[in-house]
Amino acid sequence: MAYAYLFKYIIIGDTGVGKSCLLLQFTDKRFQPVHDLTMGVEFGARMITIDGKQIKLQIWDTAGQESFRSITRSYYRGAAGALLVYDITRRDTFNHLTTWLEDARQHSNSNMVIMLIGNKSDLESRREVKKEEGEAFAREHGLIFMETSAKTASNVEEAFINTAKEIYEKIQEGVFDINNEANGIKIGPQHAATNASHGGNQGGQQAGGGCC
Amino acid sequence: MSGHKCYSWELQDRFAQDKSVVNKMQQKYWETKQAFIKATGKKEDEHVVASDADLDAKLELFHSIQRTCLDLSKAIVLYQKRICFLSQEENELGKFLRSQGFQDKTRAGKMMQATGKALCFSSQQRLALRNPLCRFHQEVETFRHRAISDTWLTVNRMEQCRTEYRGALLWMKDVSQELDPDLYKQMEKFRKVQTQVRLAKKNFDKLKMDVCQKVDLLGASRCNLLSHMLATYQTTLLHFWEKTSHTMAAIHESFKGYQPYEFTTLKSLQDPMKKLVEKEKKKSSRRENREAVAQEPRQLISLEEENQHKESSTCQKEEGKSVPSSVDKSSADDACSGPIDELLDVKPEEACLGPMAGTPEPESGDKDDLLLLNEIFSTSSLDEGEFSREWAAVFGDDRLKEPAPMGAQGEPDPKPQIGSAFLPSQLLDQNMKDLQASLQEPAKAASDLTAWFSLFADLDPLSNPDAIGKTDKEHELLNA
Repeated sequence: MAYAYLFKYIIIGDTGVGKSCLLLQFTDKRFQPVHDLTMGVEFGARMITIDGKQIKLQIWDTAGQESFRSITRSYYRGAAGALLVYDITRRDTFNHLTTWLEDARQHSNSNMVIMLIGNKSDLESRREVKKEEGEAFAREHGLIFMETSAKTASNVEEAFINTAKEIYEKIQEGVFDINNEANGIKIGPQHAATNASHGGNQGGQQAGGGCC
Repeated sequence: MSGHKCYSWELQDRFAQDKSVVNKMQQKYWETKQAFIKATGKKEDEHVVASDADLDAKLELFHSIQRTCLDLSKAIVLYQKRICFLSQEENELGKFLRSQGFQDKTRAGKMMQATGKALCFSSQQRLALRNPLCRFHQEVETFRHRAISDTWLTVNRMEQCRTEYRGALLWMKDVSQELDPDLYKQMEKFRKVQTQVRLAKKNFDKLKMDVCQKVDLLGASRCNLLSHMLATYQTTLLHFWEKTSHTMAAIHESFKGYQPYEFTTLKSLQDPMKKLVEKEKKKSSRRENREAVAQEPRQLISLEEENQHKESSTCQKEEGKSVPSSVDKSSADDACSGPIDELLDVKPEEACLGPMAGTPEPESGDKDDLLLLNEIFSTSSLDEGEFSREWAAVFGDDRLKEPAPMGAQGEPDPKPQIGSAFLPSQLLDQNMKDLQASLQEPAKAASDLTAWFSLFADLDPLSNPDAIGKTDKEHELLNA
């Protein structure tokens, strides 16, 4: 299927926060309660529409276990957006955000859009991290913030789409160089075809004009 | 056609076999690489190491248990040997004492025999400690050869799986460097590595859990073993000490009343010339003291202080070195007590035997009392001449020349030795014979008693408060 752009996403965060569940909910619209460890990385993809353009999101769901940390670092390279996930029912996952953020900023390009996600918002009774704390952390580090629930699908779509919108805006502003794949953006066949058709018409007119 | 199909299947199967061989070779390569990293002590991935921190802590505990159990086993063996040696030596000594005791027919011989028997008994009882120690050693050895060995095998298997798992992680890291999910070949390669990592991790996690559980059990069982075996050993040790101490105590009781031998050792031989010089000096100092006493009878009360000051200065001059002021006064007293002892006609050896021979000079409270007495004397109407006359009338002139009164058993009376303080009450004791003689003469008796009472009315004015500050004439009027 044709797309204008391909955005590479990376999902990072502590083990068991619900990274794989967010991906599964976004790509397959289902929730798997059994926690199965991710070995290195898993992949998912989905097409979304922004500003009338088809954009393919290539999502890299990384392993949160510490033994895979050095492997996941190699996946940051060439990512346009990152979803930094913590579990609102586990304080330690929120406390480790700084480490994850430093890692992401160090091993990825500086323009990468990072969204902070407080997952498992359905477990309100077991909440250990207030929403205000998440918002404050995001504000402090220049991130977008959202609370989601992979179980109820609350804010899952919005999280991925809002990140894509932010990346798209940066492309429009010229912050991202779309010709450099290191930025995590690939120009799709649709965009190439559109450019070619526009370029052909212009060229034809000019040529025609020239002939006449 | 079918043959062709069959051939194609054979090819496919062969390709699969080749793939598995390549796969195995690659797996072995990364495993060997990891083993090499570990063997050479190169720095491993810090995150991988950190993820195994709890396991490493358990392994540290296991190695500690292993090491300490080996040390304990060696220590028990050594302890048993030493118990045997000690028991042997004790027995030898016991036998020797008994044999010597039989030859000696005195009380000392009996003591030697009793002690010898006790030592032989103690050596036999000490050997009883070997039973729980042997049992303890057997238990420790069983623990080492079964429990520790079993855990050691599990640890070795776990270490093998850990190397395999870490090798697979290295492989995955290598594959991840240029990973593109859109490229089928790369993804196929990655999936192969991922499967390998998953399998290695599964095995490693299982063995990791086993090791952690086994080490915990090992620690607990070691505690049980030690508490059980040491309790048995301690009980035996307690019985040994109880029996031995009981025997020793009984012998000690039977020894009561036995007079121990006393040995006197000559530490140095004095030069006779030096002795003569010292005697001369002592005589001259004695003369000075007598003159001082004759001139000022009131100073008899504080005679000790005076003498101490004088003698300490003379001692310092004689020795040719100054005594530091911080030195305890009692030591100065000991050094300079000779002349005072001579003044009282008490031998230095006897003076030392006194119950308070080394007492320091009177404290400030005592000094205040002496000052008070002096004040009372000064307020008294009796001048020095009258006092000395009355004193002479009662005690006679040669009061200081009298030797120290002897006790019932021919030993010097201890009273004059008390701190070498020369008080009137002591003079009374010293001249009791003179007093008795004067009382026996009926003609003199009345006058002697009057003199006696008048003297002590002055010495102790508190017994007659009205007499304080009054003249002799007034005394006589009051008496009349």
